[in-house]
Amino acid sequence: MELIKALGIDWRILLAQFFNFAVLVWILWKFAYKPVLSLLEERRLKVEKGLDDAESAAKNLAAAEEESRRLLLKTRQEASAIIEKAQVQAEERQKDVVKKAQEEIGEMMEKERGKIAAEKAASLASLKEELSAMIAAGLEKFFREGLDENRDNKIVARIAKEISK
Amino acid sequence: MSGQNSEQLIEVKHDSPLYAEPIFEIASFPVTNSLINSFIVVVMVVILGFSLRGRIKMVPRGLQNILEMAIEGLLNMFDTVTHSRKKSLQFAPLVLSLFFFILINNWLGLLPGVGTVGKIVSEHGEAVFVPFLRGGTADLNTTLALAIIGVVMSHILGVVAVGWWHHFNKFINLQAFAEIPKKIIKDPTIVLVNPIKAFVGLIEIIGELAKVASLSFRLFGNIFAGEVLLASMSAIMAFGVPIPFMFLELIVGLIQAFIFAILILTYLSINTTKETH
Repeated sequence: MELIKALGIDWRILLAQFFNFAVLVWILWKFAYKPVLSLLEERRLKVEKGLDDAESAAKNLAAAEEESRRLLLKTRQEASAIIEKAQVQAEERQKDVVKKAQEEIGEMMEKERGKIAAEKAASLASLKEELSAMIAAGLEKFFREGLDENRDNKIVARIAKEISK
Repeated sequence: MSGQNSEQLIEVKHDSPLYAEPIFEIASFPVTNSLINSFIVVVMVVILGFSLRGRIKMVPRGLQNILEMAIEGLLNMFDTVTHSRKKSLQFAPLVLSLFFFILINNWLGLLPGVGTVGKIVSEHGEAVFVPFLRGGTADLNTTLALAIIGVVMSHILGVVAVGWWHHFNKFINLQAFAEIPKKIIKDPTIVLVNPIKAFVGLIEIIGELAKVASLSFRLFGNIFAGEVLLASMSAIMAFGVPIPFMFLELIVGLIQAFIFAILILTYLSINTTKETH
């Protein structure tokens, strides 16, 4: 008891200090800790979200780049395939055209040849006709002038000789 | 200044007593100079709280920066004691308040005018100087109240966290005796070990009282000693000499506030943890 008195411990003041501190805790809790702690938590979440967003954005960007590269490659491949195909087609077509032309030329030549042959035949026939007419006319002339035996024989012999030759 | 002309002036006693002196009384309630200081701290915090209200913003400015830094830094420190952010957040209101209240009280006791402005009263036929203000934590009533709040809260939260039966058995270990018949065949040494455990539990009760005593006396002793030290230094030479001690007391005030808060946090942390044998 002596000690308590010496140290000035007074239960009333003790109670007053309890009260003081309770008020202080309440005020600080209500106006300082709660808003600040919730704010800190909120900010932490926000920062975390921001970092996550940045990461996913970077990922998306990489994916998009990869996609565009892939598309470009594919397009190039397709384009070269188309060109190749076109070349092949063009070559085929050229071949076709040449072949057709050759065929046509061949046909035409054949036709011409036929024509020439026919003309030749015709001219030969007319020549023969003319010739036979001339021969006939010559013979007529000859016969009209008359023949002596001698002459006739000579001619016959010659003709026979010629023919037999 | 005292005793220069003792023929004309009455000798005024200037020693700092261990206890805080009452300045006036309200309905037989003694309002001591330390109590006035504590009231000032509470009023300061109330004003601070109201000025903060609705001013907490996502992008911090000014005071909010300091508050956030202090709270975040202390919370990280608490994590090293509790090993869990959840527990730290649970105990933060009490422990942070203890810290700030003690810190402001300690530092307020260092302000010029505190302990030096006062009145002279006659006591037991002697003239005694009574300062109007005295550091709040330089009164055992304050530190004792804080220590009791801290230790009692550690028990209340302990009961909430681990259940009253478990908590009760930390001190009066009935469970230790109840266990003996169950485990005696498997482990005969339990007959010796568990009574010792029960006895240790009884010692823990004394330990709890010691906690209150050590917490309150440590804080009171440090701050009171600081004030006495400053007063003695001022008595030697009032100009310049007390300045280094002023800085020392600033550091002591911070460290004592921190020690008090961390010790209470440790008690809270221990009492809310289940004992594992």
